[in-house]
Amino acid sequence: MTNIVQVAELSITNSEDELLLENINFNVVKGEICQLAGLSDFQYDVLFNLLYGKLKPDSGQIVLTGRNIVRIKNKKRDELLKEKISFIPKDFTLPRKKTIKDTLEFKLTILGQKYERDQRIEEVMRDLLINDLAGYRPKEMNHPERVKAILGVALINDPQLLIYQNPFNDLNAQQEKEILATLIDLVESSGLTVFLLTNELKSNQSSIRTIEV
Amino acid sequence: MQTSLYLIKEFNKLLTKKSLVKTLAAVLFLLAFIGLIYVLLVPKQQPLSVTPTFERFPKGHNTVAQIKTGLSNEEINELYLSLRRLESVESLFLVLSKEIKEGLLQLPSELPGNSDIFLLKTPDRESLLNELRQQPQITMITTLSKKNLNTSSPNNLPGWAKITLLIIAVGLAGLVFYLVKSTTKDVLDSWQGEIQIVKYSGLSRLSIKLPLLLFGSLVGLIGSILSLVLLFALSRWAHSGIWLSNHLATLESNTQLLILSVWSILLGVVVGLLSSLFSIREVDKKWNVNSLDI
Repeated sequence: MTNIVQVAELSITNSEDELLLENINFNVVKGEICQLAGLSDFQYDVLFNLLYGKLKPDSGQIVLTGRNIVRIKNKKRDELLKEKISFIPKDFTLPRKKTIKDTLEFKLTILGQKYERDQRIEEVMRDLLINDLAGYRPKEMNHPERVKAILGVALINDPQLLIYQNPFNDLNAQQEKEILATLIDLVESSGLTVFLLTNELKSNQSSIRTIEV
Repeated sequence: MQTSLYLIKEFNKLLTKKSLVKTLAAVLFLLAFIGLIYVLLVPKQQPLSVTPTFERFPKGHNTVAQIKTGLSNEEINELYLSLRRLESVESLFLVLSKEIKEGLLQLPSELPGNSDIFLLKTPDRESLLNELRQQPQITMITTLSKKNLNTSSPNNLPGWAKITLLIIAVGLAGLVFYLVKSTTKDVLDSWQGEIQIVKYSGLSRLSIKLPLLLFGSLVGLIGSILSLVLLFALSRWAHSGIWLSNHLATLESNTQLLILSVWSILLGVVVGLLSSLFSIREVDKKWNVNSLDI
């Protein structure tokens, strides 16, 4: 089993020397859906920014898809973001004036993908069961549909790892279960790894591993 | 580069009618700003001052042609005869540099005082200018309107008027800043989702800033080009009596136009660019919306 996320002895303090995260250790295995529980909302914010590379820890290491994010240069990190890792921060908003199809096309275009865009968009929308919503704008969709659309944006460039902070916020247990089922299918068919930064999931999912820190 | 071009196109798509009106207003204010700066800073042609002796000459000799220095008397004589033969010349007088030095005639500032000149009368000013331009021994042509002889130049504006104009110019520049900033803010407000996608796709924030900088520079460029078109048109209608046009009579026929063009375009682009630089902070705010500073 290959670890796609390795966090070891991770500690960080703020400018007033208050300990924000202390000696955090965990691994995420390639091809699984994993939930990290046991942190406060603010600590999740800190961890998300550490994983994204915006914050540097005082000690410890973070290895994502084989690269140490702590020591990596911004240019290399950007390459990882383009090719291998997708981040969804909490409160991620979809472009207001674009349809879902246009949004997915927007991301593929800025990433420089010239060929078979339509095919890829169709594939992702089908996998996420939102192919009927191609011409819809965010305000024309309900919340679960928007969450699926956000997942579509994150997955359109076929990443190996998806890191999602505070997912499924404001969804009820049934809606969350449906989206997770879609994600589980995706993980099984594509080899994607999903890492969820959230305290608790409303629905019980045996196929999701929970890490307590 | 391709991504930047695509984002510029995307930026333009988000310009609503309201934003376009603001952009147009910014261009017009910039045009007025450059016009005022021109009135205040660019040296104007001095009006011809006529001595009592000179007033004895027949009226209407309001075209001044500077003769190349270093010509012999014979060459000047030949030039005089060849100009007399021109259809567009009704009559002409030779005024020698020593006569100018003696105070017979005070020349406009752009004509050096050590040159001999011809004063010409014409029924067809356009043809005369065209024909004189083909004379290699004529180095500069100045046409004076009747207004020149009677009205004062803006250079003679009193201090308070200059200060008022300067305050208005600064106000106009401020309005350009505000309008460009407000337009880019409007676009950025509806671009939050796109900015997040760009950020988490591993692209730099310069990809977002570039269209904004280009937008500001473009507003400046269009404003300055329009101001030049206006100044050029006024110089063409120099005899129409429009204020300012009186001071632009020589613009076509000397290097002032080129210098003015370069300065106007530079001024416009710099003001536009600075306006968009002011609005770039908005990008940083939107960019860092999910980021944590501890």
